[in-house]
Amino acid sequence: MTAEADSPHEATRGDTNFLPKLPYDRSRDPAAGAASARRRGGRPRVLMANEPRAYREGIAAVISQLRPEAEIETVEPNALDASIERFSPDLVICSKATDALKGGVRVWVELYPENAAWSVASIGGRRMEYAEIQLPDLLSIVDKAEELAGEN
Amino acid sequence: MEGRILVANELTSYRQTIATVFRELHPGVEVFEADPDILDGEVVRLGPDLVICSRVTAVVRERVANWIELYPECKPFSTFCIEGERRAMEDIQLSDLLSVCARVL
Repeated sequence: MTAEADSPHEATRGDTNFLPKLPYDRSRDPAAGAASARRRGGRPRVLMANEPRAYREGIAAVISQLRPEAEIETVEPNALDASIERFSPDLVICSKATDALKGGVRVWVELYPENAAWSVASIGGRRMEYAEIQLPDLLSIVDKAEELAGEN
Repeated sequence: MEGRILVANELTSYRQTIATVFRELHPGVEVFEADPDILDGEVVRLGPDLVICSRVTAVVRERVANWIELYPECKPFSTFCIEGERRAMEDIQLSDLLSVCARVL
């Protein structure tokens, strides 16, 4: 259930090593082909800091499986600002956007703030609101973060 | 591993996430998703071996041997019921959910 020891991503997955390693069938993920076509030299860094924990870990597990090029780190929400400084993420998913996040990260998702049903994303400065965000929306935002990171 | 899991917790992306994890890890298990407001009807229709929901109902208690009430009303604890034995847990991890699945299916 953990990342495989010989995984090329092992060293940079941070504390996602505890996450389940899902058997991945890329042919079942049509968006992955598009993401591959856009692949750049670097890999998008995704910082997960949403609450509660089981969902944070679950989303991280799904992203690490369906977007294996991503480097993912999960942290407690109170470590968000320090982790932004240290990890320099291309995408942050959190429950409460901070000033450090808004000022320092190009793509972020405020997921169900204060347990509301809606969510907000900022993608390269463009604000998006979701009445009921879906898992495929989150995967699309990961792809967008990768695309924007590749423009740097 | 075989059996049926009904995932009916609140907030769509969370529900989809949990269902995806189970589907990928346990391809032999049938995983169904349902909005919480149709939980009872789906329990009757599907007869799941395990239900994951945000608010356990009387129908779930009566008809399902194993269930997890996950973060009810967005509180930080959850309740597990395995073969009639209940246990409350704080700050659960994804691995706790997977352990339950492995135990009951």
